[in-house]
Amino acid sequence: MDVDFVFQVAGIGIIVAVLNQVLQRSGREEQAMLTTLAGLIVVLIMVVTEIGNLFETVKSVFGL
Amino acid sequence: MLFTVVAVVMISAVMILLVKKYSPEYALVVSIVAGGTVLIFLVVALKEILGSIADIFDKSGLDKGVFKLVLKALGLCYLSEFASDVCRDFGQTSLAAKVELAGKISIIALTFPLIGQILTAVTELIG
Repeated sequence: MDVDFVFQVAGIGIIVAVLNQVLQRSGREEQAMLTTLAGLIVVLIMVVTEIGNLFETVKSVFGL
Repeated sequence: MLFTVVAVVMISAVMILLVKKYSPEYALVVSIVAGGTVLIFLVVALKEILGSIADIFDKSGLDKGVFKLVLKALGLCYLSEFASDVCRDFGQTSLAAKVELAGKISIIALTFPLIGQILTAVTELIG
């Protein structure tokens, strides 16, 4: 859970957005939307595990 | 400790602005990740401080349960504030208010037995 995780998520976001533009230019709108969706889901899964990690740390420190 | 937090926050703010140009939803996900990273870093830093506070609390003679309750309330505040700020980032002010309400209620539920103790102590003093 470091700064490089922030960079990873931002990088994936940019790559998927660029991919989306490329697909839209080449006329495949549905695939563009699907790739954006897939990228978002992958990123969300990574984020959920990290937030779970955050909750565990907080729980252990504050004894919740 | 503060310098690393400032650096991380600055970098992630720049990244968010960069990603926002391409796709807004990723910008919000990056802001959640940045917030989470800083929070984990702060909680770990808080751990040592809490240790020394616990020692001071022991010397003060108050029973251990009170300090544990204070810590739990602090943790609840910590989490509900994080969640409500994220909701506000997303533009959902009503959801943010709901999360804060949930945090307040859980704290009240946590500290309710303590209020009972205080009341009995007060009545003894008066009686």
